[in-house]
Amino acid sequence: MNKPALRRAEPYLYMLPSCVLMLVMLGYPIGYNIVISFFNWTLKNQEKVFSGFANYIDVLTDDKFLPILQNTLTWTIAGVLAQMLVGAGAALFVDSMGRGKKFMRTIMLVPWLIPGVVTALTWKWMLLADFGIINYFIQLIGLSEKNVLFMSEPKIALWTLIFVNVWKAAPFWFLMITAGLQNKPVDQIESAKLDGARYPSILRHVILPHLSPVITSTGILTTIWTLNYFDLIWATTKGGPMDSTTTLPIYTYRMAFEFNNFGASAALAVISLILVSLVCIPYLKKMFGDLKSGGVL
Amino acid sequence: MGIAEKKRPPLFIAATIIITSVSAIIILFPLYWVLITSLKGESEIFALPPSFIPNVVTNINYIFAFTETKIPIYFLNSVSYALGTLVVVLFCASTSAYSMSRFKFKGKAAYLLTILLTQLMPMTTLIVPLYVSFGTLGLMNNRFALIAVYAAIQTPIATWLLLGYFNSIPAEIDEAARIDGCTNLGILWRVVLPLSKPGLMAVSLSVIISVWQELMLAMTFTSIDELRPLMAGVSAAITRAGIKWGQMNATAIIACAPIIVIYIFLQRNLVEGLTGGAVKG
Repeated sequence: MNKPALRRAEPYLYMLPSCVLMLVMLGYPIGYNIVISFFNWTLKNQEKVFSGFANYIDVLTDDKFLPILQNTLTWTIAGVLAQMLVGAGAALFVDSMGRGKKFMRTIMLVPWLIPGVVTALTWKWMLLADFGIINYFIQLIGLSEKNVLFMSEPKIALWTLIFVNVWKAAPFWFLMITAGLQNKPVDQIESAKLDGARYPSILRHVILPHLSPVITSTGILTTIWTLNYFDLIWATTKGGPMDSTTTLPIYTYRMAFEFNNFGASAALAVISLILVSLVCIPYLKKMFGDLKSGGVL
Repeated sequence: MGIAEKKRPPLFIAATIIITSVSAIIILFPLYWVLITSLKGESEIFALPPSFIPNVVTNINYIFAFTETKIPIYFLNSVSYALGTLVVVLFCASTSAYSMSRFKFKGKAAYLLTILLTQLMPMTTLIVPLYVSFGTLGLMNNRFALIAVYAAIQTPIATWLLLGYFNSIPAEIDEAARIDGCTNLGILWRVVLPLSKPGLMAVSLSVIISVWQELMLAMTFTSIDELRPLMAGVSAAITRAGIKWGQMNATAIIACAPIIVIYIFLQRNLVEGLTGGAVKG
């Protein structure tokens, strides 16, 4: 190869390893997943047969689908809102603290770092119906006479898991909002104070507008993560009792490896992808536009 | 803020102390409870009323976990997956971030868009196609196959993070090195990477922690104990009936010990990695 050609190829050579890796392990599977979703392919029926949209129709019209979609939306929307309120609220509170700020920042992050499986184990142990410490406390202060079946009563299991996930994920909001508060408009806040503004109105008119980009990006990220979150639910209830904690990722996994229906599982994965995209495409568009106008590209 | 602090009424201070202590308890009690359960003997674990400081501290649960179960094997497997993935990610992400930071070429914008789009991919879109392909190619229960999947998942975000660090290194330094006879590859190796140490650290920690936690892919692509990582092993054990709680709690402590150690010693780098570079220093 002559020199100018090599020079022109150089940037691409550096891109090669990551492109190959992502093409083989992300690009190819996602393409193949879409293909599989159009085939009737189960353990019983190993001969793949093209079946058009049959998998999608079967999955969407199954009696299980609506409750599962409802679980997924409850888990995601209630979960993200609670994470935001707790995490952002804690960040604003800690930011206004004098002493103890550093201590609170250090411990706030701990739940976020604990692996989902360990979080599952920890809370499963604490929320045990008969020997769980939480039930002990509840009876000690007289909130309930009977043991609360946190994980095995279909009506409350999902809310129990949402609570546990808030415990685990709110620290990420804390972290991001704390980061956003590092360069808050101090002068503006001070002058608002001199004008006699109280904290709620400063929060509403100065601090929240300043934080809004962080809130949006953190909101999008945590929505994707929560919607797709698998580990915590799997390691506590596996989607039970009676599918009351089954969300789309759990259902997709079980469709493939318990009901051995690869076609339907692939269709469910595509449905998740569409759901995530609907939430995020407008945001990504904006972000990409910002990058372009910011001269990064 | 200084003036406001002096004016705070005692009631406000009392409220602050109460809110702070209650939150600290909600955050830390679960971990404390797991820790002391793991140090109790079988009978004390289920004693009523429960003891909040163990009457007798014992290490039998840990001895059991290390000698009678597959935990040591799972642990080493997790270490190998985390470090293996780290090596691949550092190589792929630093070369591609260097290329994007220092060269102008067609397709850069498309690549950046792809990086953003990968963040939307539900991991469930990978399991069926890769399960089928790995099955056909004989790559089930293969260390390198799992590492390659993990690396592909971690590379986009790592590239994104490193790009920020590389862009913050002034191009004049490159020029100086070039005059001294450095090739482009030499500049990456001798100038850019050494100057991006905090960035590399942040990326490394975020990769290690993500791989350490991962359950779904690990469960799907490894089915034998010799290759299972910790999370897959622990998850299989907790969803089984008849859990030995003392031993499970010891396992929980073992499983999060490395992460807690990293957090204690490298908190700053870790926070940078977790926030995608949004928080620096």
